[in-house]
Amino acid sequence: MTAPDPLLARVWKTLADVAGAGRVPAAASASCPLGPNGFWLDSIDLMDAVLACEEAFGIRFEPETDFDASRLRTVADLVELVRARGGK
Amino acid sequence: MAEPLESPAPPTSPVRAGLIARWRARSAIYSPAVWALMIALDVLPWPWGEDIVAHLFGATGLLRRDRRQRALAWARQQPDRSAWRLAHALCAFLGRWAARSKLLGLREPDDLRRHLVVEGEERLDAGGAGVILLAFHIGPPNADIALKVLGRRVTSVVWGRRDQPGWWGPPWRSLFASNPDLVASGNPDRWLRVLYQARRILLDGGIVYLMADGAGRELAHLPLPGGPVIVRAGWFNLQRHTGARVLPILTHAEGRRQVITIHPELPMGEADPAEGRPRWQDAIASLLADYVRRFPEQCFGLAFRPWGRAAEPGFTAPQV
Repeated sequence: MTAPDPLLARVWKTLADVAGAGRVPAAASASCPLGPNGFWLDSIDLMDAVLACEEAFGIRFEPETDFDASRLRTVADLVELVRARGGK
Repeated sequence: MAEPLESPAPPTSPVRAGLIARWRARSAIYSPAVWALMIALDVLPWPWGEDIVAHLFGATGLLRRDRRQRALAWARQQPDRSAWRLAHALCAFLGRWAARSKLLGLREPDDLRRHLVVEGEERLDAGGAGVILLAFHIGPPNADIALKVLGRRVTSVVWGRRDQPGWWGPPWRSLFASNPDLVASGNPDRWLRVLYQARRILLDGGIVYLMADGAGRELAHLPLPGGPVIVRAGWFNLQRHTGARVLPILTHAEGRRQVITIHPELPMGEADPAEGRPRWQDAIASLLADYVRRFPEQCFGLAFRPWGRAAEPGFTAPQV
């Protein structure tokens, strides 16, 4: 049995704060989409979310490489991005 | 047995190659017929081609049922104007806008510079913070390019690339190379990157130019004669994250001159821009109402509303 990822839990909470109670999926899952059928975040919400992650984890994203649409589809993608930038 | 000779590729003349490159530079908002016309007319000195496109759009606009109906419906809501005359002028202005968007006949920045007037430019330098120049789809296009031509460093947030290879000559390309746009490339997924980059520029004290009434999440409906303006949320979010000053920028044509007016800073609210919302909404609505009253024939974006939809996957702007 694998231990729950604490980084996933923190990113999930950050996303939940941005999305608001009405848009938080019932079960926390790394594969949950950030957009439709998940948190339903649009680009403006996503910017709020990445800035909240920068503040929460003391990191700084690089837009040219980090915000390629194909790299940022699910909660797991965001968790890996935060981890790659040094977030713990 | 002799080896078969390879037939050499037919030579492509520079003229033919140039024409092919120009054809391939067509933006999605131009129909093939209009684009072919643009290529043909670009050889003429400014403003001949622009005038011809405007006359053609004026004439054909009233023959095209959809465009005529929209123009007339909007024109009938404007007081003290002949609806048919105004509808014709709107259609003609749409043609002028289509031509000017690609700088038809304007060979280099100096050709445009000679016909520019900027009012309120001192407002750009009035404070230390970054500046959001908030533009609308009314009047001649490319007020941001005009400011770049005048030596201002302005970063524009745009939906599609404007400096397609093959269309503009080296003087225009170098203007864009030294002061590039932030381009979403017609892909809503790219907005995050574009918004994030715009935020950094604002935090560094730069100037970001973007449309208030383009695509994206709706923020406010501002009532105007003929229908509301839908204000989108992108600029508001940038202001919220940066504390940038927001200066509405409007532009109109006066004969051959393009007059660009940079208006006073919007009252956004000190601590929370949402609290200042009634005041900035009133300020924008007042500016636009005054513009519509003075230059109704230049309000093509309000009459035809080509940008009235959200930026959803598969969204494509309608063609001129």
